[in-house]
Amino acid sequence: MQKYRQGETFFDEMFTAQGEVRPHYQGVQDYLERLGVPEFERRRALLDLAFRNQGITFTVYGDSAGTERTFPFDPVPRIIPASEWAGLEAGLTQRVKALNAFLRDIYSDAQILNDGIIPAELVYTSTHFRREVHGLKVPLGVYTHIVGSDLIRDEAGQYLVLEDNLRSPSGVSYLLANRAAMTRIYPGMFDGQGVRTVQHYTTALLNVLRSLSPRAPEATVVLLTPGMYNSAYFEHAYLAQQMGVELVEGRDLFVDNGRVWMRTTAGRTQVDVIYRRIDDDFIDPLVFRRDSALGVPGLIDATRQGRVAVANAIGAGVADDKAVYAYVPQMIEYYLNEKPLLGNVPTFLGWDAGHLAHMLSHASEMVIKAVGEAGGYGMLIGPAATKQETADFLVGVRENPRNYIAQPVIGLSRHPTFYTDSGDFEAAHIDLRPYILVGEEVTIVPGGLTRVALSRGSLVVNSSQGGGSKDTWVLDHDGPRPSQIQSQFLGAEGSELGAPLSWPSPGQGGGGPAQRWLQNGQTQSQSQSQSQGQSQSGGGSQMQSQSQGALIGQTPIGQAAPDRVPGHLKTHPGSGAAEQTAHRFGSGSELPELLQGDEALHPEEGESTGGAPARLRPGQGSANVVGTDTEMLEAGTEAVDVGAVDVGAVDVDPASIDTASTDPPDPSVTPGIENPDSLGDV
Amino acid sequence: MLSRLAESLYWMGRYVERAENAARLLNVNYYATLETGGRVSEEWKPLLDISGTKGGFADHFGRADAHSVASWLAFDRRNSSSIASSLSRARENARGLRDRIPSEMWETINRAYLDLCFQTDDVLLRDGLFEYCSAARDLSQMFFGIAFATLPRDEGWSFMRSGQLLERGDNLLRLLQVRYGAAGTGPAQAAVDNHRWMAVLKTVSAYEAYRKRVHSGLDPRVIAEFLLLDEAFPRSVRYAAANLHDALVQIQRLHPQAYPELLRQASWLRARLEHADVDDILERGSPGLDELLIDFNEVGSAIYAAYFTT
Repeated sequence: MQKYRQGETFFDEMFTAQGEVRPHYQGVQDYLERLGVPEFERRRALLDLAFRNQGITFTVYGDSAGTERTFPFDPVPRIIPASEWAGLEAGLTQRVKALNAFLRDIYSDAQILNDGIIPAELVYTSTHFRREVHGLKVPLGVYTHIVGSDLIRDEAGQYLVLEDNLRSPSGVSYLLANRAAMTRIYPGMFDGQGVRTVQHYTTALLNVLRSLSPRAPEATVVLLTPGMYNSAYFEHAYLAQQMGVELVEGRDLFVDNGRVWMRTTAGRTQVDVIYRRIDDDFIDPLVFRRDSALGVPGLIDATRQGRVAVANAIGAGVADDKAVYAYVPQMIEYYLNEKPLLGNVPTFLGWDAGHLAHMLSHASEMVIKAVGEAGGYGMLIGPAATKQETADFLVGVRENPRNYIAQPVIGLSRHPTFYTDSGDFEAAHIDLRPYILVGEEVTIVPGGLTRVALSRGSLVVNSSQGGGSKDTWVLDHDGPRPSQIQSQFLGAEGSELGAPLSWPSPGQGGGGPAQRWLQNGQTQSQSQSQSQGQSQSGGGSQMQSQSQGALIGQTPIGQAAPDRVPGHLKTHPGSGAAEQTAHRFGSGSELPELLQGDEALHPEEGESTGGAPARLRPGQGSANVVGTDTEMLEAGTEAVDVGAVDVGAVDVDPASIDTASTDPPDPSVTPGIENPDSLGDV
Repeated sequence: MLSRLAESLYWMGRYVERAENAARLLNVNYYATLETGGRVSEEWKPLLDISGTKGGFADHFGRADAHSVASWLAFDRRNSSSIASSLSRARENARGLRDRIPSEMWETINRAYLDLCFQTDDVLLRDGLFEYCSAARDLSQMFFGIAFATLPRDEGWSFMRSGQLLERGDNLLRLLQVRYGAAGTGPAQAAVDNHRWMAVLKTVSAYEAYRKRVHSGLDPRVIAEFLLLDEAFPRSVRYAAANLHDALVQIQRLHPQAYPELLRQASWLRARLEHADVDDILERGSPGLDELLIDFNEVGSAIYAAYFTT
């Protein structure tokens, strides 16, 4: 760690450009220094073993040790301070509301298309648009109940949405398993840090699912899996077990008399809600693919009759189509009458003549992707491709432009990550997938799955490409954890620990709860000001801000005209504040957590093992990668036979990155590689 | 509960029990033969009969000796009843039940799978068979031990228990069939080899229990009586039949009157073992070992028809 190099090209999550540790990482840095590398590494090996024994694996199952692999895990946690999280929470909440409004709209009157906000052609030609469910009324009017949007941070540290996974995003079980393993193996790391819990996820998920029942309050919920050979099977089983619902396969269910039943040893039992982890194509052979043995014949009809609820609803995938994604900012303005809080990655649509021209002339600087492809096929990473490859690829683009989009290459932020071969901490690119639950209200567990590109220089976070994951901490404060709680209980000992009493503590001596509320209030106001600042700072915001309005009908997009700078991305504290407030006070699990903090006084790993201190000291590093994100977990596509993952790894030299970021194109969206994996995702 | 899960529980019980029995059989006999001087194939061929895998063995090996038979029964995935195959299938069923069984059960079987199912003849070369077999036996004991301590006594428990007991009765009857000679040679002629009878008892972990119960020494007829008809020894055939019946009664309670024929069969099997004399079985063949074995398997078929094919 002493040799840690943060580099200059990318945003480093832990250190500022000046090499100072960011305040919210102070506690972890101190801990790592105390622990020492040898002990850190010893425990890391224990983690690997625990994952292996528990069978927390991805990839397709086969009867040999190599095919069921554990998901590599790095124990250095990714940390998000309270105010930053509040901004994300507000932005994501806004986004899923707009996406659901959009889905409701296009499966009924399609006003947004009639009003010309989004080209109808793009929507109706999407492979995920399901005309079969047009006019079908879904419970609560919600189409996508479980959302996993992928967020990245650009070179300026600005959060951007790379893609929305609205069908059956996976990976949340890793989030929960990572946290469970971390608390067991590095308990001292959590001491006094103010890490918010994620344990209520399955409870919240079950509540959302139960709220959809047509026979409420009665609700028999099942989780429909393609089976144990599916790469995400571990997650299906885990969630079913944690919620206490039946894990069923298509063959366990049947439709009779307009209702869905499961076959049990006691005969039939009626099913009310199906949390399905099977793609639309496979879910009902009478309506979609006839050769599917995974689905339930007649299910769509039972859904149409309102006898059973399906989450996520059939047809939700149209809104995460790559081309439709580009219009999410417009959706937010159209349906909510608000400015988008989170930006998209600029996206050029082949469908638009102006965009197409830009795509063709700047192919060497961009990531070009086929809208309908998955598994890493049909994608060109300009900076990494040879001239011949580029030329060949563009032939296809010219033939069917509607089928392609292009995005600038974005240099994902980096994070200190432990490498066993060098025995040291090095910077690796990361992304973030939070999990958003949408029922009568929106719930986001404070955390997410942070995926990390472990191959040096690569930027692909994909698991099949050497990607791994990290525990993701959301703190209940913004800086070094004040020891006020400790001092409250333990007096002077707190200060012996050296924890700065940096926060005003009006509640000192008077009861935890009161204090807690005061903190919340404070955090909130901080977050507002910070999010404002955030959106205005950094060159990156310029590009995003211009992106949205310009999409339609466009002139080429080469050099952005300065006059197009509507600031969508600026956060508007006014509109966001109410929601933030609701959220912050909505989840009630924080107090107990806080109190745990006082155990922190005597961290058990206080004595370091005498090895090299685990010290993170940033230096300058050469940065050579960039990335595109990718679905690292995608390996786990939901479909049984689709094992492929896509990804695009990109090795690009920094020069090209600069180009991309300084010459902002106009459109809105992403580079990336998202992969619409036909069957589900991550 | 889902029929598919009931079936998985049943098979999980069977496979873990089968792995344990194969491990005991191999462990005891492998070491027992070290001290006997008979012809090699005479010592090893019976193991193939007991495990019911003679045909498959002949397809892949020539001579039945310590190496080939041990490898076949322990690691060979081509043998569907080998320890590795049984554990692997048990684990596959457990994997399908991850949301249903306690995590500790899953982790135990998964760990054993990772440790034991990818081994090769190298184990024999480094004299590691004893540890290997012991580990397989330990797995079974820990697995069922965790189930005993944590698995709710609902249908799931009863289905797993049914599979376990059915397999136990089946395996022991095969062992006795071979050791007492399928041709009907009486116990008197079977063998006076003290050593071999000790091995039979140890194969079903009955040696110590037998010694405590019977003070007259190792008499083949008394051993057979103990293994077949003892009421209290948990690995006797009678105990297996009685508990199999009990498990089915438990299941039936949740589905009253649904499958009277199944219960009648199980209860008839139990009654025969309760009232038969050892001479009825060994001398008069009423019921004979073959017939009892068939009865066990017919109960298995009836369970299948009643609960797994709805």
